[in-house]
Amino acid sequence: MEKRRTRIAGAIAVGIATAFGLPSQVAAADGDTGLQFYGHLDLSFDVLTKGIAEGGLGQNPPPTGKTGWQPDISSNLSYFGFRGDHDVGGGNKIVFQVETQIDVSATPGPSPVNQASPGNIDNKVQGALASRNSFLGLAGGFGAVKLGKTDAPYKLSTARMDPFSATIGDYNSIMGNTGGDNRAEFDTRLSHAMWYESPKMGGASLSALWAPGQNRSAVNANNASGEPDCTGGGGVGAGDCNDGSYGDALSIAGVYETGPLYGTLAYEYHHQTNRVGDEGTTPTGNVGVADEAAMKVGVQYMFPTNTVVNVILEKMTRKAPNPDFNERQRTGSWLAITQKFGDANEVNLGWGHAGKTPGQPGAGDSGVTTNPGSVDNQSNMYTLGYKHHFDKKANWYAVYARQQNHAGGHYDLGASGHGITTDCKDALGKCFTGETLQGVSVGMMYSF
Amino acid sequence: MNRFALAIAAIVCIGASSSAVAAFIFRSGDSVWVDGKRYTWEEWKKIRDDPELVKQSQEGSPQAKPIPPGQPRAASCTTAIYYDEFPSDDERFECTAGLGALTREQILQKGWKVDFVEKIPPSAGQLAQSPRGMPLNLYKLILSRTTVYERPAPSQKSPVPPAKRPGTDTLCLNDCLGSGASRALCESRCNY
Repeated sequence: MEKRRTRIAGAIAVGIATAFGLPSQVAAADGDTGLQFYGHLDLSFDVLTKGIAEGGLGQNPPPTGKTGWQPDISSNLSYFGFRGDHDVGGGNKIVFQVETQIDVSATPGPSPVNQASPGNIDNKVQGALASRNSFLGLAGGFGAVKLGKTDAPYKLSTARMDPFSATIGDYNSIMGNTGGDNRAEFDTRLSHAMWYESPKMGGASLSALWAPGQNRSAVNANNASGEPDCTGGGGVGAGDCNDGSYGDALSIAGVYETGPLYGTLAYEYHHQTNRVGDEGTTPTGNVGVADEAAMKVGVQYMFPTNTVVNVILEKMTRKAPNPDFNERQRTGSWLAITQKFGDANEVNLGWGHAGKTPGQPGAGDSGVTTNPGSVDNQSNMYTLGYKHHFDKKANWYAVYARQQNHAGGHYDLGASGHGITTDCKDALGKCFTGETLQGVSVGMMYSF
Repeated sequence: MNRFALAIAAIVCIGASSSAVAAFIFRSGDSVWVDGKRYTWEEWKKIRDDPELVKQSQEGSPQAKPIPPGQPRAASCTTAIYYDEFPSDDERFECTAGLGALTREQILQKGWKVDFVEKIPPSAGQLAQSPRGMPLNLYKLILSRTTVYERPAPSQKSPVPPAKRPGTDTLCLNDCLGSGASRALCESRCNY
């Protein structure tokens, strides 16, 4: 009988141990799990012109095709995703996110070639799962450490300062955009990256990201290992990544936010950026492979009059072998003012300015860029917009944007976000400099 | 007999263990489902950050008791005035079934569940739109309950404070704001 009691007590003890004695192991597997489904839709009707007015004589032939006003329907930075967390105890959580672009109005497929240069092959499929910011990481009182891909801290540090984001007046036609094409090298998403996000410390916070080059080519001319495209876009293939492909990328942003003030200081570095493709007919080595970097300071302030003022000053540099051939080094600035009228209405004004570069590589299709050397390639972008918020999730907007290039400039409209971009090229892909692009757009957004 | 006792003990104790299974929380927009129960995001944030309310929200909580005979299982609560959007958290609803005037948090604390929200438009001759042009409505909460919950006295509260939440995903917040979404929506989306 005593033996029997002992066995039963032992069985209960085993059971209790199962239920309560192993919580330190079981609890880790049983933490709360949160999952959130979210998304953003932005579609617009646009009418734009490339404003190509030059051409007709000698080395400056007229453009081919229709370069005037063209209407379009554009899906702009639309996406959906799921994100969540899983409690692992001690105030720490596994955090995750999978986000995908959705091409609502266009047929999903490989990236449109006009996102880079016509003729470039691009294997990236924007509408594929996890095409946008996606990660797995650990978050806690210390901040968060994540692996995956994300818009770089440099890009995101001033994203809120662009009331024209993803419209035809997106500031990325100038800001973070070294060459003026529809590819903003310093307003980019960095794949195969790891990053740290600090907690807020009295209004201050820091984000730092490193993306290894993981490139077997000594001059970063291959796709990064595991990637379908050249790093930074501009083509695909072993040995063919020569239009801005780089190795390691480092991106850091410090932010200070208190009350109506938001300020940021950010820096990004691209190691050994291969631009041999820009050398054209010039002697080899004048453009070459060199480090590129950018830094900016941005301030946003909301006055008691419900006026929001945004100012950004940016400096982009390239350690070019020959400055006469360097079109990747310049200053840029952005001023945007938002005046809110109640909760529902706002008027936005923007002015972006691209400074002159030390030189340019020549071999341009027309006008002053035929030969290398210094040209006046400044540009000014002016934007005007109105937005009506139905509520916190939905709004409609109207935007006018105008890009006024100086003689050697070829800055575009709609870079880095607007579904359909408008550039300097005619139907055959020849780039005309000095044009004034302009357009109007009416669209609506819904977020959940 | 010994084997039977061993099996029973194991089942009982494994059962005790499984009763501590953590919640699965799914969120889409302003709606949150916690192990199948639906809340608004604002309601759930309050529950999440208060360990006592977390207990309260779980079926089988030690404080939950069956409804005594004669006690109401259904009720409704309506705003006293017309609003052009769902009222704030401190709004006191006028409730039936002798509940009096309660905020949404107080309604939840008493073990009631909001099954759905009904908008009641103004009758003819009454003001139909707010000054900002939005339609005015009374908001009516339709409630039900299967248990009665008694909130423990303050002295019975767990001495262990809730773990500090990691906070805001700053990159997510900036990305969301950069895409043109409103600040209110972005702050809601980008909290851990």
